[in-house]
Amino acid sequence: MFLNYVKIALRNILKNKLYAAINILGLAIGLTVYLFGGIVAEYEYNHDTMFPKHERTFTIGSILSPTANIGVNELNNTYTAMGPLIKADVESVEEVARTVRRGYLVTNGDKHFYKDIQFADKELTSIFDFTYIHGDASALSDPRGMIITASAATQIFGTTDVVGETILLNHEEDLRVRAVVEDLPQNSHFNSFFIIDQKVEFFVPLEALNRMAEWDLNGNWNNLSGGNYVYVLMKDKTPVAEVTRLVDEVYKNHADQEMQETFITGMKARALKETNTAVWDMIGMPAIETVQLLGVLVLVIAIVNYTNLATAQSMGRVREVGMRKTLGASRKQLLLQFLIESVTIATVAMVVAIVCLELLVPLFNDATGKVVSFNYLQTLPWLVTTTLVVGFFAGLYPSYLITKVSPIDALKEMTLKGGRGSWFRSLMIGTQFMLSIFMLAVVLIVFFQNKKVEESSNIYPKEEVLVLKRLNVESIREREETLRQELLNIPEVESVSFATQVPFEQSNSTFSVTPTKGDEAAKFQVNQLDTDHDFMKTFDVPFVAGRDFDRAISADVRTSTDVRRSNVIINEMAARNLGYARAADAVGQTFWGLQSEEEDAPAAMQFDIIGVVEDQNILGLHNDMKAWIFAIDPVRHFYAAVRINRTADASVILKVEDVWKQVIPEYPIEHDFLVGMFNDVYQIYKAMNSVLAGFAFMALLLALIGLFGLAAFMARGRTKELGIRKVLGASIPQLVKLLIWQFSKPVMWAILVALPLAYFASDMYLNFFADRINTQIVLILVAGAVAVSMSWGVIGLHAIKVARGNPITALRYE
Amino acid sequence: MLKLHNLSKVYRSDEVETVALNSINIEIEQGEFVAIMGPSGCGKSTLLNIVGMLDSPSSGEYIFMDEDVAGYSEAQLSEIRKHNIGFIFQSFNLIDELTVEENIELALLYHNIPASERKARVAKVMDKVGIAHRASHMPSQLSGGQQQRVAVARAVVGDQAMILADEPTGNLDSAHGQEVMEMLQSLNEEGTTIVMVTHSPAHADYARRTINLFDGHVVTENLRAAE
Repeated sequence: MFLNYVKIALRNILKNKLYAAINILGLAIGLTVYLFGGIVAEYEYNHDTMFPKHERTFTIGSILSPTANIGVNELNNTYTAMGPLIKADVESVEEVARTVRRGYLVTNGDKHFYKDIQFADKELTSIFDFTYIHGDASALSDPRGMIITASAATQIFGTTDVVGETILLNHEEDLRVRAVVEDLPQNSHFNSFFIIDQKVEFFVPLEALNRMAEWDLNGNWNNLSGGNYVYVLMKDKTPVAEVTRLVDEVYKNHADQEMQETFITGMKARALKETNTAVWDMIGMPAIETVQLLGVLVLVIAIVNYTNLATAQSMGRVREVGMRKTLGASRKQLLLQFLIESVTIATVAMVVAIVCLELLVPLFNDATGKVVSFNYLQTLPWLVTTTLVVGFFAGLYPSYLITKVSPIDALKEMTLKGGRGSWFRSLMIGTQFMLSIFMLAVVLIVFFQNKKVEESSNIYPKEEVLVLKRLNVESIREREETLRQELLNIPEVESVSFATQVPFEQSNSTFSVTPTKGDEAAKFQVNQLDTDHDFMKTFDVPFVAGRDFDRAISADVRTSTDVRRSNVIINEMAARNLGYARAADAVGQTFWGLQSEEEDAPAAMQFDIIGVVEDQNILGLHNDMKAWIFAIDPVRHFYAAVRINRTADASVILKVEDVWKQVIPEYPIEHDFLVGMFNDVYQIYKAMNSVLAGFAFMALLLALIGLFGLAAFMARGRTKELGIRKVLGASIPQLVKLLIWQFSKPVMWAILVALPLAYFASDMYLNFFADRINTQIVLILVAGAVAVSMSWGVIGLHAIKVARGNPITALRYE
Repeated sequence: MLKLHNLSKVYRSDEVETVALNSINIEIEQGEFVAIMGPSGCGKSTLLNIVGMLDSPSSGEYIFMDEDVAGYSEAQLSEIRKHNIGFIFQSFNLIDELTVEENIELALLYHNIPASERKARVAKVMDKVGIAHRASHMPSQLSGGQQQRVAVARAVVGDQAMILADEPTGNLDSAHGQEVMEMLQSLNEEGTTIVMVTHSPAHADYARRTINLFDGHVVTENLRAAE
């Protein structure tokens, strides 16, 4: 009996090849998207499980106050000062380790590499059990030791057997390799941050950072940088909420009161397993959940597709059902038969989907550097359940409907176009198009928002500024003037500016200022950018009032941190915050930094305004406009921005490189055009849009395939009616209109439902941006119009063919 | 075998009431061969459907093998039907996706008969109707006469006591029609009760009794003397 059903199912597939292909293809697409979303989510949710103590390990993050205004809701790290405090205060903690990431030049003989170094407490090796090829976990106990990964050892030394070898850090610090470990797993938080590429290859004791950069071993309360972590290993398995409570208590007891109120309101522990996905919590976008949800939605569309087509197609099988009933088949047996059919089709579709995944996963891994794998054995229960559930739900309605017919009606081949069938079908079509329009609308909104972000970045000459990086070394700072002069000697170079920050870099260096000295009530936050005389010129920043820094005016340059007074340029927003209605009023005025209450603290800074520049969003991208001050301070600059003549060709880069080699021979050059630095961040938005577009494309494609199949069957069901209408004088356009209208109503309804849904969903994305598009509703309507016209096209193609048929053939058909 | 007493069938739509059968009284004995004749729309097919338990009467009694089945549920009717009644239709009603053999076997599938026995019975009945050489063909590869023979085989493979044939020769040429009639006759001679709706007086002659219907009434009943 069972085999008989499967046999019938397979023969039906072979008989109606087009129909079966549409059905299988549809379900296969749905399944592929759904499974892929599931696999990727599963991968992201299950990082770091290779570390035996991962269930007891947590990373400590910070909750930001709304007044912090740095564009995110929380951070995945916290102040390094918290580390020793947690260890001292919390009984149930076994071990605490901090890591601080810094980019440094790594040198072996005449080989130089810029690398990210993870400076770490020696306890790190008790929390994470690395796989040691040479040396052991005691490596970080040597304040001049280091742990290096196998591939980094091979790159630098050509072999992994390098314990005892010396590596020179930044031309100042000799470190001995104490251990070589196997490369850290790609699916650990060390190397995986969803989209951003990163790779941890070196662990060096924090003592080295102390020697090189006077980094306080007790940690500090002023630096929160991405890539730093505070790890906590609990003695026993502990719920994450409890860990959060414990560390939050430590924070509340030790942190400065004002900081708790205005910047970091509390701590948040996160299971090690989830550390890699923290970025999405930080920006408040549930990206992984969204991918999963979209996968489910596409699968739902595919199931609805199947239901629609199977219902329509089952009209052609009423006679079979009637005959079976006449021969004594019970309703239950028939239901079972049709469900087995849909499960059979779902199984075939699943096989196709698995083949697709086998092709897709390696491509995805290549593109993202991830190591997502598709393990059949592990996923088998999931795959089987999915197949059964999909087959069951897809086949439920058509089976119900067709087995409901009485045998006598069935044998008379009464078709199933009765009332109930058609409202259900309309509902299904409506659902499909609702989901498609929803996704399409979200894609359009994200696309145009991204476009706006990209356009707003054009205030800076992105293509004409070559940014030289990694200048934050004292010995380079000393050679800045030489470098500038040599660079200016290149004819294509128009100006050179050294700065702590260039546009689009997602970094905030903020502090509080007051309009009058000591007036804490009126204080507000400003971002500071330290630079030289040529920043405004290099980046085309227009002045609204006052003047630029001038080399002839010595007070423009603050020569020492002991000088407590500084000439600054501010932007319009800072001027407004200081209480000046007109920018010109601010020029010549003074404002103040806060006086620290610590003993021996230097006096409060006095800032004299020499000029006001236009408000420009220096951080760009999703960020709010901020109040900025620009000053020439005695600090190390991170960047040199080289403004290049628009007409210059690529050879100018070689000339810049040559100059660098002459002036700074011991450090290799690293450069990128400003547009490249913008794209480093922008690519995340673009990737999101591409992912969404992929889902939306699949959804719409499925809906259209389904509509095409359905239109074909419905038109066939109405062949006789159309023939009669034609004999009575209906024109082809009239008939086409008739057929199209039948399907248009549910599509129209779909727009009405999709509109608010898309509105709210896209709000989630738009909320992330300070500067938003205001054309949401228009875009949703456009998405609706696109879906409607495409559906008309698909039905129309079919309708014309049917309507043009000879009415006599149509009437003979029965 | 069966007895219809004051049996009526009325079709109602919102405004119109159509009386398809009006107080029919018919009795059919085991082993009879009855032909039902009459013009289009006289209620022949309705009568046959009710007799075949594919439809239920609006009023009246239907005694089938000493049971009044008039008020039975679909499931109960289905149970009686599958053990006792075989059907032959004008349009054959074979399932296109199944082979000849499988189409015939279908009638046994819902009877809880082991596969080996099913095969044996199907083989036997295929021999009987002379279609064994086409066992693995699909219906679409057969002539009309052959298809109807498959339908006959399907109707009798379950050892049904009664066969209801709704214009079994309507779609066949005269040679094939006669072939089918002879097959029905020989089944009747083996003891199967046959009730057949037909337009053809010649084919009605195979029956021992002819019931003429007109507008839902039994007009005449002719009994033909045994030859």
